[in-house]
Amino acid sequence: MLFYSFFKTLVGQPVTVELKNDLAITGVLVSVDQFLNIKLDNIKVVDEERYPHMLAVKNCFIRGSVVRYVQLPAPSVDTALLQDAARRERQQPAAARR
Amino acid sequence: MADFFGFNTAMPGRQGGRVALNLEEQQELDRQVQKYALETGEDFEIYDYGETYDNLADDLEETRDDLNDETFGDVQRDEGTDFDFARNTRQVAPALKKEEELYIQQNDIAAGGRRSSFASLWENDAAGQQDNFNKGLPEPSHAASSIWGSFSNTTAKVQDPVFGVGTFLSRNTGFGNNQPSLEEIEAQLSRTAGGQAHMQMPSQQERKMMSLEEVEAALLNINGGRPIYSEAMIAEQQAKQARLEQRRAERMAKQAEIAKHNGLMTQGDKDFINRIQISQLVTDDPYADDFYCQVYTALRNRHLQQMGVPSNSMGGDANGQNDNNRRRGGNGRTEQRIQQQVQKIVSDAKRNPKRTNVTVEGALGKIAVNSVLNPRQLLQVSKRGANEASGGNSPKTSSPGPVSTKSHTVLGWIENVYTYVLALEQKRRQQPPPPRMGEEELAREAIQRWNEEYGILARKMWDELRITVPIGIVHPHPFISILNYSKGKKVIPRVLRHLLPEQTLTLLTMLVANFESLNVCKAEVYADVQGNQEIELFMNTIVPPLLGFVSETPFRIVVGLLALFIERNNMIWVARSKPGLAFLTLFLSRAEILKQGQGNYPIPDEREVNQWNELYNRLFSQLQTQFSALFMPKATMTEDVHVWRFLAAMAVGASVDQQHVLVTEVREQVLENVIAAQATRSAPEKAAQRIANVNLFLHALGLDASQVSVPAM
Repeated sequence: MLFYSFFKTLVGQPVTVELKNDLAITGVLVSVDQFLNIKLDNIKVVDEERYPHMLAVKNCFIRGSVVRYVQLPAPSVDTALLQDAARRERQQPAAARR
Repeated sequence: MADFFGFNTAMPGRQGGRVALNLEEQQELDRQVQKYALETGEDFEIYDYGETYDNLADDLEETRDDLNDETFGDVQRDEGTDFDFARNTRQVAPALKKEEELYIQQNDIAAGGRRSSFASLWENDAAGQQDNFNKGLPEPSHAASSIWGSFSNTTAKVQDPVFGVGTFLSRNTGFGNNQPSLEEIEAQLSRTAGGQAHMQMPSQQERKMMSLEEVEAALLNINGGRPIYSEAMIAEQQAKQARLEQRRAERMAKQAEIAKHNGLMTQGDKDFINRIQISQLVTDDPYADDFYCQVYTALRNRHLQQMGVPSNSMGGDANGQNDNNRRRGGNGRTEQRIQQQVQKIVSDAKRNPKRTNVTVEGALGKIAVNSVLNPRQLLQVSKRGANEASGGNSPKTSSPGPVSTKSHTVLGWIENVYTYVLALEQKRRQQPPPPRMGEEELAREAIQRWNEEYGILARKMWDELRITVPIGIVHPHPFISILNYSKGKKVIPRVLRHLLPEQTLTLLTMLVANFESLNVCKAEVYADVQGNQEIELFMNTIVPPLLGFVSETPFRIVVGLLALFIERNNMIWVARSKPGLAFLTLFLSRAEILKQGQGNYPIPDEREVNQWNELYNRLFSQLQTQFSALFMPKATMTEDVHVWRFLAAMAVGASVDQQHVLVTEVREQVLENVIAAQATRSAPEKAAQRIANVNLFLHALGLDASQVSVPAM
């Protein structure tokens, strides 16, 4: 749940999602769920010449399994806190994880 | 014969199979009906089915009934009284009447007086058919009419599927115009349907469409009001209008296309789907499963409050789900419903913990139940290795003999420290509330238990820091090894919050005693970027909390610390590092403040002051001839601030001779800065910074930069 918890804090921030088919989409994160499916608004494809058919698309839903990377806005990530969250996640015994 | 077991088989209201009432007859009927209504004083209703009757019965075979008499016998001849139900009925008529009245009363209560009296219904038709009855029946009895009435009522029910069984025709007084208008039917339907939403929706849409047309008309009016200049303009406007029209049509088509699927799911369906989704995300312990989001939101809210921005509603939510919902802007009712569902899901999850796999009886395998919280394990790390690592760690806490300072061991210690710090912070959040009235005993117990648990954790953390390991067994000291990692530096401010004052003092003592072996003390760290980052980190994380601690210590301890500092470290080396200089400045200034008797601390006695002076002289003599070397080569003037500050601290406590030595040694640096500040090409703020730096030192001597005479070039 760490990643879900993390991405929740990025709602409303601009992110760039790189897909496994090399498409990279920049947009405002609208919502994310536990599968890390992503909803983006005001999207813009990074390489527009290569994907002209994406010009008309304004928002999109991305299935979590097709995401390769998500580029985050650095100021809105608290790395120290992220480390602590990872530590906490590790501390929880596996049995306690539902 | 038109008789059937002595009953008149002619349908009421029909003669020869056809409704043949002319206008006069109808009016007459009407009049009679109203008269009857006045006489009986009943709530009079007309169930008219004459007009809507489809005359299907006309097609029924009415001939070939010649053998009826043979089959059923001649009722006129040997009728007897066996089938004279009417007579029997008349005997019990009063009882029946009473029963019927009771029934009507009940019905009136149940249906809110919607149903009419059956008797009255029959009577009104009977009025038109009076002679028929007189012929066929001995005399029309009230009970008999009641029975007929109920019968006719059922036919009305069957025959009027369109208008229902309601009383919507009651407003029509005449038979001639009793066909209700479409609007009336619609209104009636919507009323009987309880004003359901689907009945009203079309009218709303209609209204919306109307308003759109109005807007368009208004637009056209505006256009029309404008002076028209040319044909081209008219054409353009027409084209624009056409375009608008087309776009509107397209939009309507699209809306209709979407509306096709409206109401496909009921609210219950949607709630069900929501529940599935939420049950995956919701947690009963948000600080465990949703730690990042919780703390991040709390931190940001605090930050916003500090900035003066009023915190939004997200603050103080115990559950992360809340702010998510709120951000989406759902209305209050939906939110509340989801909230309730969330609570239900949480309690359900608590009651029956989820299993990771299910074994179905008789099946050969197991069904793995994987979820987001419990994903399929892809890596199988051997348990043996993990045991060794932890087993190797814990005994070292107690027996400090074979302490190794290999990097992974130290990193392991640091991680353990973090673990306890996180646990302690979690404990802080779960601090029991202050006792309420009447529950002091209970609260005291809770607080005591909390204190015990907190104390155990704090002790474990203290052990993990390895501060109490005697000096000299391993080099560097384990605690110093921890501080040599940036991770270890970062945890110190958080550790200090959970330490007792004497533990903090021990930590400070240990740090001072081993200062030399800190990596930030070594000259080579200044060479690269990473080294500078480490120094920066040390200055930002470790120095401020310890500065706060030292500024509250009594004179005796300051003397002791400085003595240890000078004793155990090479002052020339330490003083060249930024952190070392910072600590020296800290002790010197604190001692000076206490000597002058500021604050609530007692003025140190003679013996302590003498001790201090001795220490100071030792320090001075060690650093003599090195003062100018404290300045970093090629350092910018902002990086020199700490050196000037140290020199100022030295100058305050120095004797006249020592002051003279100081001035002689750093004379060049003072002059350099003053000249640079006076040079025309330097920026004014930089010049001011230089002068301020120099003045830090000169003011301590009772001088000022303006008094410095720049020798002519």
